Amino acid sequence: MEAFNIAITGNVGAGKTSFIKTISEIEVVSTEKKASDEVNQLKHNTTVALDFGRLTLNAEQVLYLYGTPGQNRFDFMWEIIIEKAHAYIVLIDAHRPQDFYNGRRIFNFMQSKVNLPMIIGLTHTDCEGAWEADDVALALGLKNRRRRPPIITVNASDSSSVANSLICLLEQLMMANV
Amino acid sequence: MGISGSLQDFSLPEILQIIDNGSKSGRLSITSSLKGKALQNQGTNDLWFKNGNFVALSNPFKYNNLLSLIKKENIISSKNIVKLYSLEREISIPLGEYCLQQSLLSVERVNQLLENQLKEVYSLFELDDGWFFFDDADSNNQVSEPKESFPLMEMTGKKCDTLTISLQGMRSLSKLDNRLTEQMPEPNSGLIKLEDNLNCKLLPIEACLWDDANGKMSLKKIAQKTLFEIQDLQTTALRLILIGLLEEVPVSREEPQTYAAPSLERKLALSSTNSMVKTKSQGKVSNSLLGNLVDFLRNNF
Repeated sequence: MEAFNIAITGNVGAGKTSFIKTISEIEVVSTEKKASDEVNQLKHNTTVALDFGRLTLNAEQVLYLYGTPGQNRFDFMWEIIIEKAHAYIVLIDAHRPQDFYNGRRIFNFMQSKVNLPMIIGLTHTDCEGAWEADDVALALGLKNRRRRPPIITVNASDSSSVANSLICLLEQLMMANV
Repeated sequence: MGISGSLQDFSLPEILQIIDNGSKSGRLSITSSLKGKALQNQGTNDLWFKNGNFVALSNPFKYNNLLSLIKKENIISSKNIVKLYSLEREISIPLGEYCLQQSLLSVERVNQLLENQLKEVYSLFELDDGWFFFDDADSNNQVSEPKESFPLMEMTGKKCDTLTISLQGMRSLSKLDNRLTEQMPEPNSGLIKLEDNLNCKLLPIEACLWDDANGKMSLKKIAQKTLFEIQDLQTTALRLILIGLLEEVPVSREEPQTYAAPSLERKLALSSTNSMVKTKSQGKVSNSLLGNLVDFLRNNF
């Protein structure tokens, strides 16, 4: 069986678990537990190890989706998941500027570990106070518009939006493979 | 368009990074809250930027602030001061530049005026509570609220790059607030560079961190190597992280390398030209899998 692994990473509450649940054909294997400390103000449960989802294409090919924990501190699971990935998506919550710094840290961590095609998915762009994509990019330290990865809007609860973001990521890969 | 928010959520160095990274022009209004601790900064201060560089500081409650500074210096006659005050409606170049042209001030004096403005900007780094609003200037160099041009009467005609301001502002900060200290890098963490080149002068402790920011050496190791206290290294690293020069990373298991790691933007450029997609444990991905996956997603969602 040929497997394609995509890592979904980002801040706490950015929508990683929802993203995988929305598109997975199986019940997502989730390692959520009741959130403690400040995470609890955002959501009741948080991923502590990983989320896992699957999409079977045919008898020979399958897509695996791995969601990382979104804790502010480095987590050993980040490294384990990203090293297994063929590509990844960083989800950033556009209406929580207080999380951009941590988003930058996750993004830079992944970039320091692997050299893979990736995209940035902006979630909650319809919420009050959501920042424009260009300003989020600058907050993540991406100054050069022409050299930055694609930044797209994602509704993690909408299957067509999630599928479109995956297609965008795959197109990156196909361009790299040409 | 602009960005706005609370200084509790988004700190001044983070805002300045956006202005610097985006080479933005416009007005950054910083309004302290009554709970803010820096009493001398109560009210609103407007910082003006052109192409990412600081060019002026104005304050609605300190009208003609730059002229007041010039007056305080006692280097221009009263007659000329009166003349300068009357310029307001007709001046078409920055006040400092005008004074230079008229030989009223020397270049050194004008530079000193910029320094005085910058000292006021540095004090804003102490604000731990308040609001910010960055109003992008349009193509006519006007901001929108209220429709206003750059304040020539508050401009020296000199500029200072925003990264230098952030660096100096963070150095002058007497105490880091709780939100910032939560981000303190751990002794076992390493650092990586987020910039290829530096155009500002670093202090010795900052230079040590910069030199060893290759993701391979922990802060603890840097402390042993340099004899700087680990706490001082952590605090200095945090300041450099907050202004976007460095990033904290877990120390790589690989042996230290002697060359500087390429910046992340360079890595991104490299990744886009990488013709083979592979990871440490995964092999190449077949084009058949990619094509089938795209078709599957297009047809089923």
